[in-house]
Amino acid sequence: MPRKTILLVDDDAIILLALRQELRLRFGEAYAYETATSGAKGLERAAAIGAGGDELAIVISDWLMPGMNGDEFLRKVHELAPAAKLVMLTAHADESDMERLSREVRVEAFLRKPWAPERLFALVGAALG
Amino acid sequence: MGRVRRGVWLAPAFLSAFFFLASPLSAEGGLLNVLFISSFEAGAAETAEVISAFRSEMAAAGHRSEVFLEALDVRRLHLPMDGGAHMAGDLAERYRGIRFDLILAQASQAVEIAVQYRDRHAPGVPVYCFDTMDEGLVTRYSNLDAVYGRPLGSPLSPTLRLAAALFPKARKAIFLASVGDPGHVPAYLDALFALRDGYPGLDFVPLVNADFPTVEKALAEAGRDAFVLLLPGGWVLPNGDFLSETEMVDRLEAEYPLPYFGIYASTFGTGLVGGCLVDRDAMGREAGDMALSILFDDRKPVAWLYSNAIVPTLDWRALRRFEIPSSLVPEDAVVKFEPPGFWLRYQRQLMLAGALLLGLLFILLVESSFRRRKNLILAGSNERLESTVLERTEELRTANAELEASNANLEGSLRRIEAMQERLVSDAQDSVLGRIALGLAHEVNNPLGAIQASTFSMKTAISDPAEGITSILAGFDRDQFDLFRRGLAVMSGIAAVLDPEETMAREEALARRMDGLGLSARRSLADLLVDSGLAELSDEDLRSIAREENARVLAGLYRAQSIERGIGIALQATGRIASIVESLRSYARDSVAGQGNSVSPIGESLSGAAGFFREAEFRDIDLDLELEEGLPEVPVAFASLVRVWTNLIRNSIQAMDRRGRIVVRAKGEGASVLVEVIDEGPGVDPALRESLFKPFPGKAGMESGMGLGLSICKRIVEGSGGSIHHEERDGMTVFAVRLPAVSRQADAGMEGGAHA
Repeated sequence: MPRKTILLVDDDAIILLALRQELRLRFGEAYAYETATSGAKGLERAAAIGAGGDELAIVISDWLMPGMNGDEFLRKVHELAPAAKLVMLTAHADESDMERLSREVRVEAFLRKPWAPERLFALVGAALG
Repeated sequence: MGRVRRGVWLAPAFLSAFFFLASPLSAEGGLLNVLFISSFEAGAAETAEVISAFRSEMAAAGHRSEVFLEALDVRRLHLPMDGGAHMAGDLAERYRGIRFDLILAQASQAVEIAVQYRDRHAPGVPVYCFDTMDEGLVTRYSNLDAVYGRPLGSPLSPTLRLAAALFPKARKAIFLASVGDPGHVPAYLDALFALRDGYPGLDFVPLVNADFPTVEKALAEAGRDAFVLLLPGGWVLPNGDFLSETEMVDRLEAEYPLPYFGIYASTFGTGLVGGCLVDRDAMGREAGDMALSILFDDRKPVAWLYSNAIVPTLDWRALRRFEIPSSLVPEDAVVKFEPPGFWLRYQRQLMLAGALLLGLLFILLVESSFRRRKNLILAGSNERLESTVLERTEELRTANAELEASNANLEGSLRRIEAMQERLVSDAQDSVLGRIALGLAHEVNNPLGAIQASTFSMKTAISDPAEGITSILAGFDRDQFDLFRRGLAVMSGIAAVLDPEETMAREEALARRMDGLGLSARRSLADLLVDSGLAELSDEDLRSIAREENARVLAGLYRAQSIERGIGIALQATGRIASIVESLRSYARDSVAGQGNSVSPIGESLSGAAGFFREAEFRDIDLDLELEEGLPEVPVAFASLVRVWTNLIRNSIQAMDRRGRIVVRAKGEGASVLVEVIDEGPGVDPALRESLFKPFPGKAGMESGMGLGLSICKRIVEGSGGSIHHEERDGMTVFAVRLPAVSRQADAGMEGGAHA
């Protein structure tokens, strides 16, 4: 049975740790959790998840990252796994950039750091179905 | 570079973690779970006293005990009772999954609740009852199996004796009593009137469950030759409001200045003259003694055996107020609040000194707990964990609440910063201030997010009703506890899982190892084990933890790891916020501090700066200084000059991912000096070049992410009449600084001028 997977992408390792821990304590082993520190590595992980027969259920990405930015990463991951829900988790984002991205791909939500756990859980819970 | 700093507001968490892991316990034998149902308040000193005396009595006999306190809200005790049935249900819900070895019940109402709870939800568990004045209750329960206890010698009689001794001329004794269960009133009155023969000159006025106007009327009519006994304390007013003994004394004493006597230690220091207090230490020790004989001796049944230690206690100030000669004070009475001595005279100074000492101690504890924590586990102190985990959880919970409060504050400040920032940005999109505010919000939000998430996680890991570590641990059997302990011993910290690729490599290695052990290599299990810091588990333990029935052990270990990791995350994140604040501070300092008339030797400033990068952490950096002979001096303060060079060198190091060659070259060029910092890194992102020397040119690529370094350099250099620029030359990245040289003649001229 394919496992539903959450992919977390942020160039800040402690955000990844904190996020995964928060989600794992809430959802336990209902999901697999994968992390990556850049857009490029995130795409590698996304491809590997698909190739391994698992289902990429939701992607939560930072916006400003070295190399590939979050908006570009989400566009590409959408091509790779169109069914995956996309969430942007950002410390600061330009409103016009957000609008532009929303026109191209469906982003479930733009969460601001620091985020409310309940909001995050609701989004992830909905993606789990 | 000291990236991990200690945030002071996190201190309670570390302190608790320290206790959590290091609390000493010497006794042998299994852990006894004891439910203590009490009418005391949860935080009251007397509660702690009883529990601690109980535990040390048990420990002295070689038995470790965990006491779960169920403090009954005294207000609820005064509601109509249904024999404790409804509260027994609450208890069953709250302690689901915990197996108690013994139930202690203090005070009459607790006895009823305990027996109900035991009969319905914890069959066979012995109940030990104490501190009840209710003979009827004793009779009713004496014959039940496994209900033990002793009636408290009622404080009524010794209190009356005390009052009568102090006020020999009194003609009236008023008894104010609020008895929760109306069924108990006759027993109370019987006990009261049995005493009447001993005091022929006294008129007994019992006011049991009377309404407040009746009480006031009786007191008004009492005249001056009366005293008042509040037994048991506390009063339910007809409108349902509840007055504690203290509140009653406060309220009545102002209107009716009679001598009042009570039975609660907490009322002392108000208007109470005195009363008969129960020696809580003796009570706890007796309870421990009884528990031992109930659980381990053949002396059963030990029903309703002893009388209690009751101590007549007086308030010195009240004695003076009523002008009671000391000859009337009984010899066995304890007098509290003695005349002002050293303590009262130097109270303020002593308290201040105490507070300072406490603060110091606190800091020391935090420091040492952090260092010693790991060692303690590895040094085989695991034994200690088992017995203290549950108890310390409560402390962690408190610490958590404080953490959360701090977070809320932090967040509040941040919201204000953001509001300010938005205003600034609209005012001046590219102004320095606007950029700083933007960058600041950006840089602070990341660590703040991490702190908030990890705090929330810690809270969940500790106190979630079903999945928190408290309830998980409670369900373990002996073998599971041992497995849990061995898991804690191998557990690795936060650093081990910082890098996702490293994590993946560990997962794969572990999955292979499990394959070799013939365990069905579930990748998900390997992932959870690595995320719990358990990659180093022994083969045997791997086998047992993979078993379905031990899933809860793994869940418990994941929560233990979450608590540790949560603290680690919060620590790192606060360290980062601290360094952001520090950068801002130095930015501000360099903005305001003029260079004055300082003159510094450029060669020495460069060697000095290079000295910072000789540490082991820069071992992969090859830093070459190429300094021309006879370099002149420049008109910049030495410290500022060093800051410019260290900022530039640090940028290069980060750009090269901490590996490669940097050349720092300095030479005289006419009336100026040219210093170049050259690295072989990938160069500056073209998108950033334009704003490179402005604050916060952009986040991407910055390791310790502040973005103020180059703008600080620019301010210093330009403030001294120099210039700074960046160029890409032959595949190398160059930052060039030109500073005016201070000529010897000019120097001499200035000095000459000064002398003239």
